[in-house]
Amino acid sequence: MSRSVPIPPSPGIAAPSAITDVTYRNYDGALKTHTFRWWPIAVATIRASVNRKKLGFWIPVGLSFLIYFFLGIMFYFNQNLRQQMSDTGNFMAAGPANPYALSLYQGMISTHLLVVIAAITVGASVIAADNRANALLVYLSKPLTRVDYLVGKWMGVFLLLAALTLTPALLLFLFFAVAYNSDGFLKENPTLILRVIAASLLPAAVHTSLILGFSAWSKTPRLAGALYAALYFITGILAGMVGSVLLQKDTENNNSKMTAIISRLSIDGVTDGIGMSIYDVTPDQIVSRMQGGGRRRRRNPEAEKPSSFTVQERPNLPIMLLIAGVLIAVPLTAAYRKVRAVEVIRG
Amino acid sequence: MVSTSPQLPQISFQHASRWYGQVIGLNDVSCEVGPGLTALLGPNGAGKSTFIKMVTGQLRPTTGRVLVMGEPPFANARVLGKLGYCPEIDSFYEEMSGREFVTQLATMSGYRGRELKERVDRSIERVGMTDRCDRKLGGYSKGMRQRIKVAQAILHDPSVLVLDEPLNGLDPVGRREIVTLMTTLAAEGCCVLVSSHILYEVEQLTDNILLMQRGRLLARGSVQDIRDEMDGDTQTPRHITLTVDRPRRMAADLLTLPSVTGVRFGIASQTHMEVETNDPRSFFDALPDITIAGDYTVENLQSPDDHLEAMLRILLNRK
Amino acid sequence: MSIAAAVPSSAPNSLETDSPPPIAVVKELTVRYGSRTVLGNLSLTIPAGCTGLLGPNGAGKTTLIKTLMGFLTPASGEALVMGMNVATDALGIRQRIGLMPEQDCHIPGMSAVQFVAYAGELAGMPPEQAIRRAHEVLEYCGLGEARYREVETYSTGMKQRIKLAQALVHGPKLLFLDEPTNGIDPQGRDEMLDLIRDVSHGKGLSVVVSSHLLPDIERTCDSVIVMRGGQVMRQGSLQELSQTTELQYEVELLAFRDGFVQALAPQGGTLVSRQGSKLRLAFPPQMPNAGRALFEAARVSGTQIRGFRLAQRRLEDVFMEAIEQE
Repeated sequence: MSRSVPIPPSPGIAAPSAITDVTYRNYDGALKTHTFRWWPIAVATIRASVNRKKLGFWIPVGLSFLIYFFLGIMFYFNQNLRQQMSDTGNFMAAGPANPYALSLYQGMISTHLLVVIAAITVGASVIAADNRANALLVYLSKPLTRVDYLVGKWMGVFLLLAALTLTPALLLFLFFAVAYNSDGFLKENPTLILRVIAASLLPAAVHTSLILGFSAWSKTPRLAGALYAALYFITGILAGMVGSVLLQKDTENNNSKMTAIISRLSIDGVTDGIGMSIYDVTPDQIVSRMQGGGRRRRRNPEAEKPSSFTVQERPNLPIMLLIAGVLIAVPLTAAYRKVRAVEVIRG
Repeated sequence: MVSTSPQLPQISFQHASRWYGQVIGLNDVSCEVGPGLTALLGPNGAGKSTFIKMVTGQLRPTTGRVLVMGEPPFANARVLGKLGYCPEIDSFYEEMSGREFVTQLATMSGYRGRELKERVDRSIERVGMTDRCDRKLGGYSKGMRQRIKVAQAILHDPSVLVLDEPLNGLDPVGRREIVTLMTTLAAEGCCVLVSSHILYEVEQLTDNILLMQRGRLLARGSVQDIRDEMDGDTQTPRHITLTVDRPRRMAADLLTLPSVTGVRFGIASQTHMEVETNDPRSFFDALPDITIAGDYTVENLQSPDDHLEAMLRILLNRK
Repeated sequence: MSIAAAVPSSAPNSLETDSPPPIAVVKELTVRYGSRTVLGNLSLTIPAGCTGLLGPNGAGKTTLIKTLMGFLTPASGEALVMGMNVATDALGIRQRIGLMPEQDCHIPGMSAVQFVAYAGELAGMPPEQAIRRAHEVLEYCGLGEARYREVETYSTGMKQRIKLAQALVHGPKLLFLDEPTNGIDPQGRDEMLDLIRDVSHGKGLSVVVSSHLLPDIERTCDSVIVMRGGQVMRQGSLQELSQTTELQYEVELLAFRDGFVQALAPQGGTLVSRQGSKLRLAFPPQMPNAGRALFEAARVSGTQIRGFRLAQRRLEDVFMEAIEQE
């Protein structure tokens, strides 16, 4: 039953009008800033890469999972890998090798190129496109500082790359924990989870900082990506070449400590070098693992001689950390200086 | 000062068309531009930049002809040597000083030695940058960059000068200075073509316009002539506003005129009146008699449709 | 020239009966760039409503706006924007200010809605509110279906509107517009100026427009501040500043005839200046019916009057006088 008499408005309150007022009205709602002002920027950076079907990111992610998956399979089927090598008279053995750590380290070094490709895909345009579009003018006119801007961009790229490096590694760790806990996996390796995290986040941090630095100084994503790739490959090649040369001299002079450092003066060299220390593995253990493990050695002990192609020592950790620190700090400082030069209002 | 024969228009378009794939840049444009100041008007995307590029020899028409000083300007050193162009875009060698930049361009035009220096100094002085030309271009304000652009355009005393939004970024003082410069050059016989969106300045600059829309030339010639022609159009009503002491009485008198098609009164004001007419010429002729006969006190009479902006709007929205 | 329009009644949320408080107060402000003093002991107030900021290049307008937005720290003196101190509360100020920069700017790879919503989030709006408000503001700025397209595809006029939208989305109480009609064609410029006029009157929002195009300022602003060399040369409402001392009329004829001016002479009318068929005439003050005199003169001299009105000092004249004085 409908009313035919309109309800009189209560005194003091105006009757609502039938026609909505659609002229501009000011917004007086909540305007709180996030505890981390940079968070929306990080989210936007991530969304830009995740939404757009960026194959250059998803394929490396997929491959990374695949690689760790295979490592797990290999580990499962190859019981011999879990035996120690020290019982075959290998005078190069530096101590019992931790097979779990070795597998995880193997995963780390197998995903180098994937990280680079992903970094270029999600990171090259992250500031370069903003430079071209003058986006910083928009950012700065809001309650954000230039540091917020950089932190947001960095976190966005970092979280994406960390997804690529950390997640598959954690899954492998989980597999070990589930499958081999009866063998005392967790009890014997209490700190392994922390090592996994540290070793996975390190390359993500280094590559994020580098690509961010190049992106900040370019107006086109392509240039930023090209310069970053150039740095990566050139340092890699140079370090490798110089390393081989030094190795020849090494067998005479036994100056392996310097060689260890110099041959790893590339981006991968630094991250791998630190990774070795984190996982507490030595080069010869890695070599043995890569060469198929104990089975071959038992059949052919004479073949086990110091390889002239690999460095036998772990590089000096403090120096590697220093170089990694430089690789992170220098591009970020450069990016900050570039961002600081942008004037919101030009006279 | 290079002079051309006064009979020959300096810019001549003869059924020139240009398209880029499917997109039409110019559609059968024919017009002639002689010495003096002519304004090139039209909404964004109307074809003004194509027009300008054809005049400055950067593009050739796909069909038809474009002649500047009697010859096609495309890759024509004779013509380009007498043509000055001040583009809209703003890219310089930021590390050079203003003077160095102008000198560089002067060298490219073939000047040397003392003549080079004199010409550079003179053109910098004409744009009012003498005291600031030794600073690096990177530190220039928009207005200063604009002046340097004009300086390089007038360097070689051109007989045809094309300026694309020349007053962009200039403060009111600078605008006056450059406007004076353009008017002086036009008075000296140079053919100055200016493209601008700022209609109130165009109105003050010149009476000669070229109006483009979607690649076609909608109107050309003197604003006066265009207005006369529009006056003769009895289909589009024009609106005229009046402030008078007794609007309704005056309205009764006005409604006796055949040229008046409607009258409206102000809502907020008791003295405001708006008359609609389809023959403004006759209306304005008859207005004084009616006002005097009825002894009305008219304080304000405006025909906003007479202004360039309203005229263009009517022309551009015509079906 | 500006068309006199009735200004709508003041914002419903203003409870005072007298004029609302100024939106910014500057006291003896000194700002330096390195060793160069750009603003020296500057004092001014920016009233509520729409204010035009004028001055030749290098007058310090840019520096003033940057200081008011908290980008520059004053060397001495104080500047308060909506009660907040620029030296201590820069971020808080920027949360309540909207800036429409002069240069083209946008966030790459986003549609207009995404961009404006993102701008709102950056200012601190919750994401749902940001999207809702982005649509509202884009509607107000006249962007219909086009708002779902990417910003890179837009024309200049639309890009300017989006810049305005991103400045409005978080409901600022003060808006800085830097050359808002730059590059827009005449029709778009008209619409943008209407938008500015509308948003600055009766919506609880004050606007400062910095522009070199004086007729634009005349059309949108209620008051102006003229600066030169880091000082305020002239400040006041447009109405005050444009009053003339004598009775002058601007007359537009169809075609000029000398006889027209001569016919006015017996009544005391004189020609002040002429540009083509636009004349400026002076009459003795207190003259009762100047209109009638004009019509009679036209009839006698055979010309047609197309329009006339009481002359006001053009803003350009006010400006020139302000910056040329010692």
